[in-house]
Amino acid sequence: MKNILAIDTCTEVCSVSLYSQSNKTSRYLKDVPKSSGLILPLCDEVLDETGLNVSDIDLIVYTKGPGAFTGVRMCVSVVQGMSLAFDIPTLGISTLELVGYGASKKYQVNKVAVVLDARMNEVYWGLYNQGVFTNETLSKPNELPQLDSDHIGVGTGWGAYEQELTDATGVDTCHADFYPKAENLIDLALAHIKSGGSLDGNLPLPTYLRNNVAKKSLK
Amino acid sequence: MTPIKPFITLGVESSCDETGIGLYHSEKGLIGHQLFSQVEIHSEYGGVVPELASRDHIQRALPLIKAVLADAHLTLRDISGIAYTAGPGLAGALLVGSAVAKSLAWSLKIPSLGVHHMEGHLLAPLLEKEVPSFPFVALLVSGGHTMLIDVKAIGEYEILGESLDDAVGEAFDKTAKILGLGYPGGPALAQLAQQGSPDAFKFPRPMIDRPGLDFSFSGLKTFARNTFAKHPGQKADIAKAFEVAATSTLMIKCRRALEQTKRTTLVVAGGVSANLSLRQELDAMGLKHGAQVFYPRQEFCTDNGAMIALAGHFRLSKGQSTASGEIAIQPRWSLEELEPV
Repeated sequence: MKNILAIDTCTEVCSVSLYSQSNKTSRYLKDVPKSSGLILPLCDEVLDETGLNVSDIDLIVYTKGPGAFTGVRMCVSVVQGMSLAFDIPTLGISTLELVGYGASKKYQVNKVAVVLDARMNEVYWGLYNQGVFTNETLSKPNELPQLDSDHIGVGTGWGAYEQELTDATGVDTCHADFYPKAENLIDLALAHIKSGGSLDGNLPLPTYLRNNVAKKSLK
Repeated sequence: MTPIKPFITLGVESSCDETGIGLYHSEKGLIGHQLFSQVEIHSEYGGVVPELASRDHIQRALPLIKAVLADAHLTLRDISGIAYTAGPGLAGALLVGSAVAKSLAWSLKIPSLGVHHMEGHLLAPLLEKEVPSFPFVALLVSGGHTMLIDVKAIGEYEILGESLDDAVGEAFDKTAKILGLGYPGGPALAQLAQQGSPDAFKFPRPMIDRPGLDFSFSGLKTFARNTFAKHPGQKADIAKAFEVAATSTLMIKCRRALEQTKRTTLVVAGGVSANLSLRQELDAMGLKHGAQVFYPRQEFCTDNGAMIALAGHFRLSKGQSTASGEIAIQPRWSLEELEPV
């Protein structure tokens, strides 16, 4: 796998990373309104810097959600278009797993309780433990289970619902201001390939977790 | 001598509850189109649910693009430019089509263009064999819009009048709901009206006694509700009276618009232009006043990708395109803001 393009626009940040000749060239936007719409110019920058074209990409790894619905769809739609152009295989990774991996690397811990604010008094959460990601769920903050004390909490959910989450999980160390980064998607893709994992030739599609989005009319 | 390479435009429509893909060829005209309608998904909610619309578009757009290309025996390498509906419409729905189209064009290094959905509608009659010539007056009638436009040329539009409240298609659907015809009930109402007597009830013709070319249809819907409360057994007669009032109001305003602009061509497009009573009424008016009336074929009255491919084609083939790489949509966008070709 020579050249890998990584894309994430699922939350309030937006980032791309291009892996080529064992180097990562990355861009990251934070605090920019409608940043997901700027994903193609960011891709232009990393491709130009590396001297590559989209046709040189061997794999696109992307976050498939959960997250902001529009951001998730922007990410998946853009990947659909790019992969269609040159039949490029894709690999979709949970936003929660990406955050969990990134935090375990940054804070040098094994166990991460990833919690993202899902609004409407709910959170998207999952557990990252030494390369294994489990429990991807949408629930109320007070519905999280009690966790081992060696977990750290990471993600915007810890900013929005810190007390409820601490009470429920017993986790008292948290980093709410921690966001996904596409360069970490590259690591996850390389690990996936190394372990013999398959790549997706199917249509990239979003993971929402929240599916109850409309009320049926009482006819 | 090397033949000049044809210009082929791929069109992507996703502004509301229909995913449409079209393929327009500079010499052969429309060479392919497919549509997926979400009407069943939304019918149990009694209206379009924007989030569900977006969730469906993202599953349909790419398979439809592949299918249209395969049917036309073309590959992506044959495409010269990609047009997508950038507005007006539902933001989340517009974003899916725009992002797929834009990233595909960006990858292929071909130009892309955000098309105005209503320009697509008003140019749709140009997909037919007999086409209207410019300038003309256009009546756009759908579930979201009711407007009269003076069309001087492609991209040169002046809005002569529009609905101050409900769009006419919305009034059809709401009245159908009052009569218990389900959602979207406009076509069912038109069908029921065929069995109704034209003399049973007389509904008002809103705003015809006032000068100007604006419309108002919410009062008509209320009149239907009140009549139905008093005469619950006369659904077909109420449907007929509603339809006659709505279509003759549209006809009267079209006649005025033609007189005011001194145009002799009328183009009628949008979902309600499929209504046969409206077509009869406008044809009769045209005949009487020496105006030619043009409609799209039935399947291109409602939202579709063919009209977006066509509208995009006029601009892309002349070198116009959306230069910025930013994926940006315009959920609110006036036709008058468009540039000439």
